[in-house]
Amino acid sequence: MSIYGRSQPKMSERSKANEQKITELLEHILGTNCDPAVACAKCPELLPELSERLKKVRQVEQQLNELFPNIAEQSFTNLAKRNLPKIEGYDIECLLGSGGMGVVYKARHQKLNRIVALKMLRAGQLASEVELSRFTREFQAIAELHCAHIVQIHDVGESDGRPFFTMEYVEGGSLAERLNGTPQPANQAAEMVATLAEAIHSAHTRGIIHRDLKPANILVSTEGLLKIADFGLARHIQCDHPLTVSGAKLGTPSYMAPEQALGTSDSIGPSVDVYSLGAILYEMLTGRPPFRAESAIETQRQVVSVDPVPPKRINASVPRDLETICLTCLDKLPLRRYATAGELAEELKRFLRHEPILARPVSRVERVQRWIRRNPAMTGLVVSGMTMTCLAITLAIREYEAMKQSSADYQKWEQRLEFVNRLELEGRFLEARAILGRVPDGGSSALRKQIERAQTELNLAEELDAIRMSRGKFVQGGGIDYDESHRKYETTFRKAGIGEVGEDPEQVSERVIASSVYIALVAALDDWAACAQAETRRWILDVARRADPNPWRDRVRNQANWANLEELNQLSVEVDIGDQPVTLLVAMGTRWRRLGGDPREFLKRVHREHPNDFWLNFELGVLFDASDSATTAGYNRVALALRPDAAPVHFNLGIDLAKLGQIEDAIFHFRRTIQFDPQHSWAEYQLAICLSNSGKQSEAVEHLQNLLKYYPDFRDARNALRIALVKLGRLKDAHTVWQSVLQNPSVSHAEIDGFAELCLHLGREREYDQTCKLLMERFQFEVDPQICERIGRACLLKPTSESVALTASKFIDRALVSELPEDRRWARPYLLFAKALSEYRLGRYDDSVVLLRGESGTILQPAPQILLAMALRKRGEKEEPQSLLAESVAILSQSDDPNTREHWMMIALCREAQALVALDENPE
Amino acid sequence: MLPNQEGNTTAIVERYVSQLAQIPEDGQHDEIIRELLGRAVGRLHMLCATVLYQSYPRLTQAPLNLQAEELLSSVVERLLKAMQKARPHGVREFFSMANQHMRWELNDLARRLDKKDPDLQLLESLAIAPESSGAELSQSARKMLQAIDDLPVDVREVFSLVRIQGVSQVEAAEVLGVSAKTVQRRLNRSLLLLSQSLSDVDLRAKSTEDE
Repeated sequence: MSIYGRSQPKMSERSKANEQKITELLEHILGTNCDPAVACAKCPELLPELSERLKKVRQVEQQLNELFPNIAEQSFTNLAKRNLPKIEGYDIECLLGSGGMGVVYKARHQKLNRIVALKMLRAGQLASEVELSRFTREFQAIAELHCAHIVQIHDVGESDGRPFFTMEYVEGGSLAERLNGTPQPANQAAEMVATLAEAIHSAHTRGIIHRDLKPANILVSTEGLLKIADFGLARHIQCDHPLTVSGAKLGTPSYMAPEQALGTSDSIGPSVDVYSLGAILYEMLTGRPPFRAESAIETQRQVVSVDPVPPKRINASVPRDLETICLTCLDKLPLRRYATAGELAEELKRFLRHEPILARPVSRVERVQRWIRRNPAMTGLVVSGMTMTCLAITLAIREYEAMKQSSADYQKWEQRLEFVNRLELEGRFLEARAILGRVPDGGSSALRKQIERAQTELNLAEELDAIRMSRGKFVQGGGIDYDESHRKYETTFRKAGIGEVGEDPEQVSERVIASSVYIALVAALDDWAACAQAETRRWILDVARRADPNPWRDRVRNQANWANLEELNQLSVEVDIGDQPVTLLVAMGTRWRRLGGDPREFLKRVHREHPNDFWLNFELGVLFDASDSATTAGYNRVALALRPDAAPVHFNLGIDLAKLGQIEDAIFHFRRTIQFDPQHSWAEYQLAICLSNSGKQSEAVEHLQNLLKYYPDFRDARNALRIALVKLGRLKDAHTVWQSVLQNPSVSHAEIDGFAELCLHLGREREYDQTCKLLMERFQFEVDPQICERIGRACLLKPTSESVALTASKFIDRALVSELPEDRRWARPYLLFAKALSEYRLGRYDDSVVLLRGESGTILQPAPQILLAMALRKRGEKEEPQSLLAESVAILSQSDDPNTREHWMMIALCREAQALVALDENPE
Repeated sequence: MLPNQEGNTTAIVERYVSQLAQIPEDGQHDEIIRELLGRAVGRLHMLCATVLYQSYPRLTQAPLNLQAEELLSSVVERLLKAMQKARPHGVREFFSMANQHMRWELNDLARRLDKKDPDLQLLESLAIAPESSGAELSQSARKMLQAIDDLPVDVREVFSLVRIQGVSQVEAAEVLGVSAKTVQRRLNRSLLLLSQSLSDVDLRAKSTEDE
């Protein structure tokens, strides 16, 4: 089928050969980017159609660019690079790895053209300036170490508050990767550790302690050279809080000396590095570090209080002397270790030379003595265990008797407490609190405990309910903050001791079931699930499922169904609404809506059973807004009756009322929204619009200016402010606001439309010229006929260069060829008037006159009349132009709204016409 | 290490796909699939966000609060399910599956957004014509997606890789095992075919009006 059809009937007669030729030519042009005229040199008759087709292709390309933007930027290559930081003086090439301390990148020093490893510490680890300068100073000291076995530090600096340093880039891997759990030959291990010990010793002599020696920090170059990395970093990063770090993040404390693990940082000296060297030797000999437990805490405990298994027991081939050296390094007491790393190096060399070593092995008796010294408490406990047991039994008996004594009291109040619990379960907190207030706090301790518990749980239930109810605080740019509710739930559940995200769901659910506010907790869990992100939600749903098993509810509380519209629909069909808790039903509806589905019918059914649930009414008040504002207004009114201070409901009701044309009522509710939620920028914006639409421009301007003070990027508000200022006739202010809107590269035509006219009106001719240029550039692919017409017209309001006139007239021609949609047919005379203007500017006065005397003369009076006067004058006529102009001036002066784009245009044209006609009167 | 090793798309995806293939059918392999899909999802996210935030900024505000994040949580689940059922056996198949899903999802998003009414409009006396609403934009987005679906298979494959997945032309050539020139030719062809079929859509709409 031809793509031109009706508008160019001749097309259907064209031969298929031509069609094919055109396609070929188009492909050629797209492939080579050559000029259509050049491509068409051999068949010039096809050029007009080719150009037309090419234009369509470019338009489609433009649309594609809008729909699928930033093609190059998002390629996989760049995705990987996107997150790389920018550091002055360096080109970051790629990520090498990351760990607890920070991230390591491969980078290139720009000036030296040298590849370096750049380690960037996590933000906020060096809190103060002082800290940072200490960090820098120490690293300068390390940089001065020149040892072949220590990774050279090149540079220390800071980027965006994050300290970094660069070091020698070592290709190869770490010793940890090399070892990979396999024992090494004894001699090789001794040699390697001797090398490391010497290097460490050279650093110690300069007062620098590594503090975090481990295989992962020892790099092995491709030539097999050992290089120690990350000197002294532990001092800044780890050692301050050795017991709070998680094993996963900072590596295990397997290689850490006991005094370091205990956190007695003042006692840390070179001997911690000697210990770590011993631990490395141990791993090389046995294939595993001396201590390694499931958790970092447990490993730390072992480091402090358990003797390592002698290496020989793990690997029988380990020479006894080497085992002794190793265990000497690993002694719990720093004083018993080698005094310096240099001594260790010497000792290892003695071993390698088969000379007798200086250290002696530890005897079994000594070992037991040491254990007792280290664990005095434990020893004491074993001794006094019997006494303790007796004491416990005595206490328990005493408590039991006390309970028995007060059981009468207890029974008396038990029923009442049960009633309180039932009220709590039903969410009737006020009543529960009233009854609880009458329960005496005297009597037995058991009863007091019961009362306290009931009170605590009542508080908890109220707190959880408040989270649900207080949701809806407006967040700039994001609507309702579900995340905030999520965070609050998380904290409340944790503080109340119910459970923490990630904890064993079975245990947490048991606590939920045991609570007297069980139903409130389950309701909170359901609501929480609707607020949380997927990872957390899985856990929440799991807990809720275990706490409140039910075949239908189990299916709702299922991560997969939770994200599946069809499944939600199916569940809604099967549900017996009367049997299910309203919180879950509403949570399901919320979820359904947030997934983009339509839960209206379902929620309406729920509404029949629970007409006075606030969130249900809130949901329904949102859901119908597109189709039926009267209905939503009803739901929103019910919601407001339940919670008169709910800002989001006031806002939604305001929108409903504004749509229903009840502007005054809408204004009231927008004002209320702001009263309860002063941050609600959208309410303020809508309020301003309602005010502006009901003629209260000054008030609207005030609100909009206030809004923009806090949210300068609020584009709609800026546009509204400009419009209100124009309506007020404050054109210069409007001009200033308008200018700031134009700065935005994604400015739409609606936002820019009229600015050129205003510039001309205010006599800013240069700015007018610039705006015309901007318009023609930015909308060069525009296809909307009215926008094209508006742009063309705006650019022809004063005499201009031929090239500008030609470009502008092309816009108008484009508008005239494209067909206007049915509902915009009325705009045709406007297009014709623009055409008349372009004909006039191009010197085709006769054509212009014909157009102006026709259809286009019916609109925008007296603009066509003014233009006609000018065209006639140009043709040499004198009298008619003068009378036309005089008449036009009279009409213009009577205009009831001088602050419109059209009026500015007429004034501009009128001035020009007057100057032209005046030439007759003053021919000099 | 080769300097551009991690920039090599095919290598990255191949690695994931082979990892995926090594996992027993019934095993827990969410993590790997997630990683594999992470990139595709990131891209889809960007495209959805473009449609949502550029064309319908008001729908992202209260009271509707539409968020690309929200809309996408279900998309991820669906992609995961699809990948669990039918594992891709190569890079090409992976992209083909991901592309199809992404087009479906974009189309679905545009359809849903079209149903929503634009928010309150400012009654601007300056405008002689009612301002166009965002709806038109996504109407054309939907037409566009339909037209993309109708492209011949080989052309659509190249188009989707480059335009939807954001893969460079060189990388696309690598994935498909054709020359970069061919990729470029098919891309141009897609442009021609799309401009033609989109004009046809317009014409049909008009002729029904005339009847």
